[in-house]
Amino acid sequence: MLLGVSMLAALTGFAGTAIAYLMPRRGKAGAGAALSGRAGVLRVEDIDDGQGTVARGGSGKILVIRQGTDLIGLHATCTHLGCTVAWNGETGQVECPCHGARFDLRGQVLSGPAREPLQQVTLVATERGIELAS
Amino acid sequence: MFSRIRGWLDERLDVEGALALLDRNLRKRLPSHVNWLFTIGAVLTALLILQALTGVLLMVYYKPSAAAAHASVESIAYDITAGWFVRGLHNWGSHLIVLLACLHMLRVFLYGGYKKPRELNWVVGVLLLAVIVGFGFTGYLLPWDQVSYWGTVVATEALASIPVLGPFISEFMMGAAEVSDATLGRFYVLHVILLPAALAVLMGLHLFLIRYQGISPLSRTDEPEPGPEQLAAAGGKPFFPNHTLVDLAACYIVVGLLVTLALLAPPGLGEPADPLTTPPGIKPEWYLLPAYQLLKYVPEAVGVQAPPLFLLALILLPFLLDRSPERHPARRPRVLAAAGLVLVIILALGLLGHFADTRRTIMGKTYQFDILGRPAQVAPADEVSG
Repeated sequence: MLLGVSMLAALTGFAGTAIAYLMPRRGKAGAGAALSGRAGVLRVEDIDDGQGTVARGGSGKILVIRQGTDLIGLHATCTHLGCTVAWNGETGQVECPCHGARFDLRGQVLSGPAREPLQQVTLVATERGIELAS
Repeated sequence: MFSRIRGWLDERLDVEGALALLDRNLRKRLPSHVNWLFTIGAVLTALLILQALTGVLLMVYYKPSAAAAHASVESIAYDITAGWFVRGLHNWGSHLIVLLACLHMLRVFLYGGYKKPRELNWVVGVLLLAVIVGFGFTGYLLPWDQVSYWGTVVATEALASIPVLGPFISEFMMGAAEVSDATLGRFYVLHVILLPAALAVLMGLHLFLIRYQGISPLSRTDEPEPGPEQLAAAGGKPFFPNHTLVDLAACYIVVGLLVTLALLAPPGLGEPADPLTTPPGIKPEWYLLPAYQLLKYVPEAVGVQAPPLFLLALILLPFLLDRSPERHPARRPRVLAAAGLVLVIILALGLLGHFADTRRTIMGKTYQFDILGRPAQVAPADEVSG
């Protein structure tokens, strides 16, 4: 009995350690840091008027759409199954290439299998590049 | 010299007894209905051994990190002598293994081989199928190109839709908030260590149970199974050498097909994975296409339940879904019709997934298939611009 309990305790301890070891490490999300695109820090002049691009910022990917002097920011991970959405300047919609979900400029679902909207973020253009507003 | 070694071993290990036991087992007669369809298991075993060998060769040069994986596969495919051929054998081998595993399972289903007293071996077979699909799923990510990356993103995100535990399972598998370097490391360990270990254990058990219980007869489960004399009287042939020769011939044919595919259609390699851009027309491997397409029609929380429910239904088949004593296919019309319907649905979803989001010319007319697989004829003007 004692042997069984001690073996079970040892196995539980080992399994617990293994699970803790394998637990994903979380990155720190935060405002203030400039978004980074493929070519480094993302600046307003990198995006043509009426166009959009995806960059890394905070804890994930951000779709940045430039409309004149305005910058519109949306979380770029599709709420359906995690593909990266893209801005379609011709249709004026945000589209997911995987399962065809469509969103408007505020991230609201227009059509397709996604049910949740894309979360909006506020962006500011600074000397350091485009940043998430705090 | 040989006899002295044999004598030395025999004194310690009773080699004579072991060989006699092996001989008795190998010469067991098989039921008379055993035909070419019963060679699929042996072919699968041969392909899995070949897959292990080519996998070891690929491991010599493959680098499991997001920074180096794509370049190392590119080097295997284009620089290293015969690398393209080894990769081709491994790639095509994986497709053939999944295909043959499904056919093997269909054969066992058709002949009622899952029924009492062979339920446990059926369950082991279902687990083996899950392990084989697991090999395909984890191996798919390893080239780290756009298609493999995004196919994996969709699959891992689908897991996150499972109620309650889904997000934890998905993140635990990915090792991070998204498919990344951490995911590649985990998938690599699964692909080359854990899944092969599971496969070896399950294969050993599967083969042992087949030899121990024998091939299922076509008689009812509540009738005694035929003994060696009855099998011989009914025209049943011994496993060795008769059926073994048929097995070998089938192995030669399929391995020949594999070599031909690897030589004539070596697998390509797409652009390196770019987490910031999902390319259009992303699709998983053909055997995951039905599940992928289903996710376009139903809410993801419902769609992701389909594959595990399908596996569960397979496991429960002999215990709950089909408990009739009949094994002969001609006396199980309802079960076969139900299975046929499921098969048609799976094939239809797979075909829709294959055509979805593509442009095809069929009988001289061009059609644009939308993301749901619905065709729309393309006007000649659009055809030129498209």
